[in-house]
Amino acid sequence: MKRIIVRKDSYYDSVVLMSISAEIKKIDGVGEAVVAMGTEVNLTLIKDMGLDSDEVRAAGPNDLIIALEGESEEVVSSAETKVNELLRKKSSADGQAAYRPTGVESAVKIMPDANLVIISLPGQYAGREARKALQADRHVMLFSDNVPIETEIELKKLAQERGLLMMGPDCGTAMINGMPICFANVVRRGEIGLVSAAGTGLQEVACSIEKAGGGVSQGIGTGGRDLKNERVGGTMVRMAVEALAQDPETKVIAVISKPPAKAVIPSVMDTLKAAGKPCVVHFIGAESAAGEGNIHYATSLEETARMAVALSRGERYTGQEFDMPEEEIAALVERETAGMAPQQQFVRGLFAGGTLTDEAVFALHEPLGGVYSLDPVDPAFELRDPHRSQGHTIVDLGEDVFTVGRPHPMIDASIRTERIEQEMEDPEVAVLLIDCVIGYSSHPDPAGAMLGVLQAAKSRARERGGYLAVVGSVTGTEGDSQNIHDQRRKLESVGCVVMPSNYQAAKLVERIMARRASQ
Amino acid sequence: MKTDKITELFKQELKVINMGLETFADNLAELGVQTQQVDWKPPAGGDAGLLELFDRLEANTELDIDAANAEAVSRIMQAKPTLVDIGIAADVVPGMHKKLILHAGPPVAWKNMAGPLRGAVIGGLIYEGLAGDAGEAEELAASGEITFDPCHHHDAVGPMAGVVTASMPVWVVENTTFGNKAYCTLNEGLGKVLRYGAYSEEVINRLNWMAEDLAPTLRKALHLRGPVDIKNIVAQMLQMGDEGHNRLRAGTSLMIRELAPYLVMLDEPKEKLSRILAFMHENDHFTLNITMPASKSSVDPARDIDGSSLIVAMARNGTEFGIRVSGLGDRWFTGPASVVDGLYLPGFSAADAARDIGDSVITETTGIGGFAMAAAPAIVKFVGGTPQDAITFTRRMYDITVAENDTYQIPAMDFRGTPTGIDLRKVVETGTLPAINTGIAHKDPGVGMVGAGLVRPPENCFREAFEAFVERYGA
Amino acid sequence: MTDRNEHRQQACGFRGRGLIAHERGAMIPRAFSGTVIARFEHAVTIAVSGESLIMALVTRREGMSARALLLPALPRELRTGAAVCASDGRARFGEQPRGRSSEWVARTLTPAPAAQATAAAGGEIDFAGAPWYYGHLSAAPVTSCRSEQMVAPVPPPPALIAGLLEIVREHGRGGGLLGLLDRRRENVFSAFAARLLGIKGARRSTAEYEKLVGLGGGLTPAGDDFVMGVLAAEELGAPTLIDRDAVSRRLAHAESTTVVSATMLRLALAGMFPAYLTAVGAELTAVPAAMRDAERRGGPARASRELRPTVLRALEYGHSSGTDALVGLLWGLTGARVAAFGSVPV
Repeated sequence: MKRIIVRKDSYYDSVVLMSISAEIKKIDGVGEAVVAMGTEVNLTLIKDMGLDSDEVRAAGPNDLIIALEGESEEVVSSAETKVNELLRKKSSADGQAAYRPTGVESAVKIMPDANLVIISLPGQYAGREARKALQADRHVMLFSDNVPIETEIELKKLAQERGLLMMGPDCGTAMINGMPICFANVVRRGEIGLVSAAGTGLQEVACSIEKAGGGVSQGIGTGGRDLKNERVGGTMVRMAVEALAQDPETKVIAVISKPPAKAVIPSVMDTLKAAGKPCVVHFIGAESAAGEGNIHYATSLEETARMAVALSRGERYTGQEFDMPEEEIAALVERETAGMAPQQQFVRGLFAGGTLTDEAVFALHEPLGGVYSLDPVDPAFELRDPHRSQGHTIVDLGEDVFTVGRPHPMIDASIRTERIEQEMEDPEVAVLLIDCVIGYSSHPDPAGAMLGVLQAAKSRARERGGYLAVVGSVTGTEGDSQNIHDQRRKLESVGCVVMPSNYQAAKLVERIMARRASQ
Repeated sequence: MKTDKITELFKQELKVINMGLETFADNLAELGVQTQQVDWKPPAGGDAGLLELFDRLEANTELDIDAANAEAVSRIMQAKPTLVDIGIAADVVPGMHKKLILHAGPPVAWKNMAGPLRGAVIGGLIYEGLAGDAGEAEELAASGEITFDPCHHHDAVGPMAGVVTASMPVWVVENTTFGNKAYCTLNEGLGKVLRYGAYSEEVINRLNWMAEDLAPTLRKALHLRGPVDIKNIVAQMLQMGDEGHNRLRAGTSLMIRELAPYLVMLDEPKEKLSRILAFMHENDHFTLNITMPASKSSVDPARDIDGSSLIVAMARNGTEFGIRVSGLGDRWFTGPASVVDGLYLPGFSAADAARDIGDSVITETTGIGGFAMAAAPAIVKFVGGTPQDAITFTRRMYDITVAENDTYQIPAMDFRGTPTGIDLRKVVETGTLPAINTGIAHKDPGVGMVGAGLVRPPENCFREAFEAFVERYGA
Repeated sequence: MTDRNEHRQQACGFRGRGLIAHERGAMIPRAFSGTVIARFEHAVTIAVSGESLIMALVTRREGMSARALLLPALPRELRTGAAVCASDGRARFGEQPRGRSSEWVARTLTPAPAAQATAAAGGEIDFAGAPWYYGHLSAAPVTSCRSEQMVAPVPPPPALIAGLLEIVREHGRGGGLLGLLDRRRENVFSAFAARLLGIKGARRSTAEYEKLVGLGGGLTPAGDDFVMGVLAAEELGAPTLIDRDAVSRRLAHAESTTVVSATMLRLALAGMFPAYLTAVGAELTAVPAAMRDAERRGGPARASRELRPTVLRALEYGHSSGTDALVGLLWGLTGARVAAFGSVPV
């Protein structure tokens, strides 16, 4: 494998250039490596090495040329990555790069008007830094998890005293002033203010709002324990709702969370009533309730979004289960079940998004007569071994048990692809249910990363004389760099049924399994 | 609930400080959001024990350390060190007597003294006429008849060995804002000198000349001229490429300018005056013995402020490095003195070096010296660095200090005030140790200076001081 | 100051914050205008409007040249794309309007008209009073002497050259053309150079040194450093190896080498060298009498001790630039017999 990298008009001092050449040669499997300026003589010699390309021919003496030869594609690619890393590192020495602030206090000296501090440090340290940021009167987004509950209570109390946002801990998503913070999608700005104690829930709702033609004014994450833990007491949800009530850009408020602790509900409801704006509430997995006054209950993440869009337009929301006509759904179910072998009877849901997992578990638990998971509806359905599915199983592969020492499945597809490889050897699996979350900070092509293994799983089932249905949805928008349409097309290209939302995907699985039961 | 800051945020342009995963900042920067990445390191080196101490300290909500520190540092900045007189130690230094020898750093017994300090004590005893030669001096020092005490316990400071004996002349610097005074001997020049532990005849003769000719003449000139505002001199020095500890070329020139017109007015032989002017001219460090007591007199009013974690003294005796903390009274916290990382004079190497010694770190304690390295790029040559390194040294010091000096400024950093007032908490938390410039003495008594460089203080004295601070003030 | 310059400076909107240059290269004009094309840790290079030579601002003495100013520091405003204009020995610098500067620099290397700079921040360098730096290798530069038919310089004694060779062999940095000393072929570049120079221990007077221009790694390609070293040897009185006209013609050809390197070679052709090399030159020519003495007493071993500190500093210059220049110097001083030289009795 040979590769040429040309950097136009690049000036690095010789020490840098030589150290690059030394570093790449250290990589196992790299043969020849030449790092030189594109002078006439050098170009001739590089061409003599058999490393000719259009780029080389176009290069001039002030362009940096890096010519690599390695035993495989991977070796060459890793060498290229290394080169880019080294060049980036050195060029940042331009100007005053020698110094970077070491803490919040010194950072605010450099950027006195900073208004948000994002913290993604190891959990045991994150609390201290968050406290310092709050004490310096800055809003905080605390991405880290593993922060003790006492620390969360203390931080939110401090934030409340100072009137600051304390998003998190364990808050993966926010959209402030139209800017995506951490894991977030490119969503049009609009009139709906979101408050979410559920990370991928906020993403799914925001993307569904975009699909329904609405827009988001602010998306405030609170961390999963805000309403669930009575000692935290919904502090941040309430503050966020009050702030959105004040915000002239926000016409409708939507709140998304897992079911709150009983003691917390009255105060949250009072706050929502006092907001005076239409509010859509979705407690994932809670019994649906009838709305009262300005409060409306939604039964799914998608419905939360659609209801909020309708309210913002002053329209009445009329829900339906599927976007597609019933006949089409029936045909789809027929197609997906036709080739299944008799022993194929179970659903396996493999998710990267936590809230999406919860939504699927709650949607399917009753219809399927029980779904095993790590966070089951009924404690009897606690998955015995997280690494082995049993019966109907839906797992959040982003749980700590899977991610110890490995990147989260939203960033690195391998946890899920390995699990699919395992599932495809199980002849009892009828349906694979997946999610695909895109947007900032997510994997650059999550669908693409799954294609190979999905294809393999399908053909494995065929070899056994059966048919494996794969159903999923993409959480994202057209504006995301991964692009929702591209992702959807990729999944469909291997025979995956891609539904408009996670909820509809779960519902389709319900229909498929109902059809199986009647066969 | 109060939410005005949140609604305000909704109207502002987002500006983000990012700690941790850099992609989060990169994503935002791509969208045109201004971001500042923090180079985060686990506080206190990730030491769980220390973190717990921080929690204990922060749990004491009645204590306002920041306010105490603000008071302490404001006293340092209000200080107005003024050179008022030259006197004889026995007459002016509190508690000074014939059988007392003052030395640099925290307390140390004769038997534990390092080579340079031993040499200086020997020289001091010979100079006082208490011993005839080195042998007699060592015997006397060991006999218990002589009392040893740190300069710091007597409102004084001394460079390197810092030995002060009863009949030595001393500069008297008064902090006119608070009325306190500080004392320091006159600088002997470089090479074989008492403060580096040399005690040969040449050394004693020079000391005698200084006491008999130099000091009385300078004193007369000073009286004729009137008090000299040292704060002003230091501020000017920093603009002229000095940092006040290891580079004092500009400061010494300024002092000559201040004194020369009055020296020539004295009724003294020309040769005598010429020798005095030449002596000052040949010794760039002449002014060190003025910036040191100026620093000492500035920082002393910041001592003993309840709840303040400001470091009010750093000093070394060649055996140990010690610090004192404002809120912890007179107690010294010590660690082993380090070997200096630096450049050596021809013919010497690290093998010849004594451990770090001297009270001169009092300059860093008040925000000059190593803390103002960016003002003195020439200094980085000692450690083989570049002017950019000097700026980086100074920048780091802002991370462990509570204020920027309102008088001492650094031209190369857009006239930013020097980092002033070292906060013990920040040192422990960031793991950034104070940057200190220093000279290097030969490890054997009697040899003298062998080089100069940058010293790394021992971490444990800061840690122990912090533990004591939490013990005293923690919940 | 002309009106035009005054206008320019007003348009630049510089704030007065001055640096005073420690030294001023002899080829730095009192007035010029240009754009910063690159920034390194210890140097900034500037493309000068209407001139083919670049200029440099350096903070390390070793890197000083006749087209450089030695400064106490490099202000951060001197970043890539910043405009620099000077008149009356004072240079002012500031930022270009954002967005456009990178375009200029990337495409054409043509400096922007300084008048377009609307600086957010900037500063001033005063070099009017700075001492001049010429970069001559010895007190009597050959280049000017030759034309006046003055006494030719005496080349350094063999003991010194052998001493120099010893240090370079021991401490020289690889990656460039160090292998030429021992007939080793480190990489494609040194293999090419070896072929071109016909290393067989014998001098090859017909070697086309100009073909080394632009050869090898580094911002100043190793071949250029080597050629400069050979030119330096000639300045010191070694026999002529290089066809100067051929090198000159080759440099006229823009594709031949980087702008930084072309400037270095043009100065070398004019007898002006960077400070790390002049320091070595001074050592080699300084006290011939003392050295003759040294030769008698201790031979190359003593000579290498005397030379060592200066040569080690030179070898540290750049990555392999200092080494390659000294290899060239040795090449020239030994009349291309360097590989065989170590064994020649002295």
